[in-house]
Amino acid sequence: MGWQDIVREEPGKQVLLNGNEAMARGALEAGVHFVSAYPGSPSSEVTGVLAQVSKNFNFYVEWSVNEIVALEGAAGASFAGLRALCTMKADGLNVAYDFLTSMNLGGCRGGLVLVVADDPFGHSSLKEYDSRFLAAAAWVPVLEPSTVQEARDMVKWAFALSEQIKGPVIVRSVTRISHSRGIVTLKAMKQMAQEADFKPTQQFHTFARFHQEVRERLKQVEELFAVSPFNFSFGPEKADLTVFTCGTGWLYTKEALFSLQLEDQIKIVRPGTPFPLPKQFILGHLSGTKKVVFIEETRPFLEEKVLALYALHSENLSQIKFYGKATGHVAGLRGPECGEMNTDIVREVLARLTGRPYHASAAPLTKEEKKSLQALLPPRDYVLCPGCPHRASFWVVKSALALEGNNGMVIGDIGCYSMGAMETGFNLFNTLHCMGASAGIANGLSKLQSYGFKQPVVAMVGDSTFYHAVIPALINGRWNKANYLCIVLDNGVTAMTGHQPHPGSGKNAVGEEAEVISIEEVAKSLGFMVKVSDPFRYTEAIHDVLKLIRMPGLKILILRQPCALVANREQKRRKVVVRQELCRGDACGCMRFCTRVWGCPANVWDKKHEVAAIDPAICVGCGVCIELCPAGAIVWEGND
Amino acid sequence: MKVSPKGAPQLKEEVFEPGLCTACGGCVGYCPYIKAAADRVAMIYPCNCEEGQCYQVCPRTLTDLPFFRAQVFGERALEFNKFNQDSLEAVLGVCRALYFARAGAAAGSFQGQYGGVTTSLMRYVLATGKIDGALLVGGKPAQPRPVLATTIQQVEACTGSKYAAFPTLSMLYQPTQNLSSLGLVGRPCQVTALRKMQQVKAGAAGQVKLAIGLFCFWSLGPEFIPWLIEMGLGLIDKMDVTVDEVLFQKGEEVIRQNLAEIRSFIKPSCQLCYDPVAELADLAVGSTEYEADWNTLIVRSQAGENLVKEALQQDILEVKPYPKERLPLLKQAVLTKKQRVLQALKAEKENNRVGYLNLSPAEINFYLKL
Ligand SMILES: Cc1cc2nc3c(=O)[nH]c(=O)nc-3n(C[C@H](O)[C@H](O)[C@H](O)COP(=O)(O)OP(=O)(O)OC[C@H]3O[C@@H](n4cnc5c(N)ncnc54)[C@H](O)[C@@H]3O)c2cc1C
Ligand code: SF4
Ligand code: SF4
Repeated sequence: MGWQDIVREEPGKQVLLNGNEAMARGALEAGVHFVSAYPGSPSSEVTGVLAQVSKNFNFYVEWSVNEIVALEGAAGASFAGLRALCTMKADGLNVAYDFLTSMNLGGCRGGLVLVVADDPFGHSSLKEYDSRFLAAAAWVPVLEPSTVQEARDMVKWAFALSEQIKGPVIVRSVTRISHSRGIVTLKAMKQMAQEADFKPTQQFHTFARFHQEVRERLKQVEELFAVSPFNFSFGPEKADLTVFTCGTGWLYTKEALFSLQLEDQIKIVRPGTPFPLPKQFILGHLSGTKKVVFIEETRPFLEEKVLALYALHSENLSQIKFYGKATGHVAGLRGPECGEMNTDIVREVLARLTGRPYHASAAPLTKEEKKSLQALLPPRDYVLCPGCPHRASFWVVKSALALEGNNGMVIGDIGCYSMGAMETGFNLFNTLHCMGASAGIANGLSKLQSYGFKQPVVAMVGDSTFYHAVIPALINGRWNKANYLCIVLDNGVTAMTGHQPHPGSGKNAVGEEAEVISIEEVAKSLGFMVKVSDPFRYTEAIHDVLKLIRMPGLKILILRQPCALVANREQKRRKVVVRQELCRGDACGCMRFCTRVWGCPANVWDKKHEVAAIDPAICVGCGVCIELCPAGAIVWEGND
Repeated sequence: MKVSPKGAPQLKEEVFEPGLCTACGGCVGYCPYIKAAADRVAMIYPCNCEEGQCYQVCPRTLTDLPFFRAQVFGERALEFNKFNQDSLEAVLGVCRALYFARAGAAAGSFQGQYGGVTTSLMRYVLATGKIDGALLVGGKPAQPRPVLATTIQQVEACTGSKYAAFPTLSMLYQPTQNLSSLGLVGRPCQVTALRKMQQVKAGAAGQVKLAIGLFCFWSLGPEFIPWLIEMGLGLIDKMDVTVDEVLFQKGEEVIRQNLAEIRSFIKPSCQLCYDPVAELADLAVGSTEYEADWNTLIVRSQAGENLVKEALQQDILEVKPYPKERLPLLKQAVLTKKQRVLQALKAEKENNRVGYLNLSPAEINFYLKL
């Protein structure tokens, strides 16, 4: 399993891979030369695993500072005739989009494939949306796998397709493809070796006049898609009811038909190439059917395209009634177009249309039912890890702003520390948007003094976010005399997405030593007042925050402590214990501060004795609660 | 004593939110929810404790003055509580003696704010082992810091008035290094808070054996020090306030400004302060507004009287009679302040309660009908 299976040279062997590993394998089978990415769930493991195996094959892999830089690098390799892969989460496509839309006009040379992983329901993302619409707006072809094996197949084919059409290709994954496991039958891996050359006569330019060339390119793609084995149907040749589905919908629909025993009555049409739409394939299946149901992840992309096609060809087609997200018939608990697809949603709509008896397990519960069920569930809120330095930083900023008064604002950003917007982060953040937005918003707010805005403003950004998107906003702020405190939470890694290294880590994607690009050096060279502080030293850190807030201009405070998971892996720190005889517990002067408010999972409540305790299995020994306990009841072992 | 079963939520609502915190520090340091940074005190997180010590000790929550007078002064308080029109005490509070005073020849060489009575006495009680630690405010006027002085040198280093309110009472919640008896120099709100703390046995309040209260008609809020620094006055050695001027002294140089310059920094809580002369202290010390090298000294408690006697014998203190012609001025200043506050609070009057104060009907009538 894992990276060993990905590098296996045994064509025909069946291995169990997750979708991201399968896509990595697809790239290897295609003989990829250049891989670049900024990590982002659920896409990270594609590049992560390729970085692990790159030495075996001698191809190039990098973690880039952000997605546009990653894609530009990959395009460079493609221009030089090499096969390049760039992976990102849906949000990353926005960052890379300016370049993608430009580069798509000029085209490319070596196969250039983007794996874009959407996160329906936002399991590990702040927003949920459908990148297919962006791909279509950019006029970039999209392949959409339904299974893990197909994810491998599509990535592999995407390289050849890209070379044939001389333009980039997007493979759209979703969490349930990227993160679920399936059998993959290995195929031979292509030889990597190839000279990189950029012919002096060659030009890759972006000019509006190339717009029509892209249109022609899409026509070519459509012809190729028309005969693609990725577009197929399943079930009876002729059926009154047809399900059009793509992506994860394919397996959900199969399962639904199986369980409703409708397999012989309903036809499934599965286009794997939703953009550009394989029109003849679709029209062929529209003809003769009476009802069409659309099952797809997130928004009605396929649905809208098919409806438009039907409108254009309605005179040759019989009356069809359509059921989908746009019509409101296909909907989960969050209603149509929002939330994640699942088998129940499919079952429910098909049962309704066919009159099959079916009791939906996902049917809305009554208030009482909900209450009684919730009582059975242990509360599972988002929570920062034991010893997480962000918790300490949040408490420092919360305290400092309370002391400063005047309703200080905290402008949040993207990373583990986005939990600053939640209970576990003391609900600290007033705003939370996208990579780098904090510094930009803070710039704007701090310029509103002439409109009477006097609240102190603090932007909180992570270290990886600092390199990714914050630096331009800081330069803007300095240039335009912004007035706020930017706090960089520096834990040494891109923790949220799985501890990938970043420019400050001293390591690159493949584990080699790399130049450390120090945050404070960058900030100082831009002329900022910079201070580095330890969030574990609560009182001192508050003092630093207050001092800097009151200084005029834009200042930078780096709160530095390694990510607790990394620190704990590297060295076990000292043991923390509770002197239970000193604990005030529920009494005035505490009210169970450590378990109720501070909320480190290692601070636990000893129900039997009604006092606090430390869970030694998960305590990482940061010792912050020692300083915070008002009774001096929490101590280092040996001091008790 | 009248107490209300109230806690942090009410402290937040009744004191912090309307800006009435005096920064005495009485509630700071016992729990993790109320913190201080320099002269700011804030509730960081709602603790939701419905019956809390913080509420009990705060000088801006229900304060039963007759009760505390009785606690501190015993029999003397009963007499006082009659509010005899002509008595000196009716306005100045329990007053065993009233003097002009200054540090005596044997007090040591230091430069007090005025007569150095405060430092001289604190230094003496420490030197003679009556206390083994004193809660003071050290540093220059723009860098005040809390000091728990255990040596004579440390006491002498704390001379001079810092006009920023400073929450020194929080030191009573810190481990007091095995000190058994403590002394406090505090603003009147701090002395009131100390008495309330002693009542509920908060922190080390019970160990405070001598409370010297400073006269205080107002203190300045957290915006004051940043302003001082901005004005280039961050390094001044001394600050003094006269009737219409404020003086900043750095070395030999004295910068004078109109008092109006700093009026906007006066803490809102001070506008509702009923006690400009530290009624619940053992001794109350102020300026004379007459002779710069002298203090006004009010001897209030038995303990205070004993100490003054001893200090006179030892030449630690020098006193002279309070000039008769100055007395009406002092009384008028205190009276005006008290009347103004009662009037401001009157809107909330119910039973014997005027705002946060619990007073006898005699006292309310005494001030309001004058
Ligand atoms: C904020 C403030 C306002 C005052 N307002 C008046 C007034 O309106 N009328 C009047 O007659 N007198 C007032 N005083 C008192 C006066 O300024 C002198 O402090 C007092 O007369 C004692 O003089 P001294 O020579 O004995 O002082 P010193 O011997 O120099 O001793 C001064 C003592 O004051 C303490 N101290 C200094 N700053 C503070 C503070 N912020 N909080 C608590 N303790 C402090 C120091 O620890 C030191 O022990 C005020 C004092 C303060 C601090
Ligand atoms: S913070 Fe300290 S006193 Fe409060 S419950 Fe935890 S261990 Fe006990
Ligand atoms: S006046 Fe004193 S007790 Fe009241 S809130 Fe302020 S610091 Fe706390």
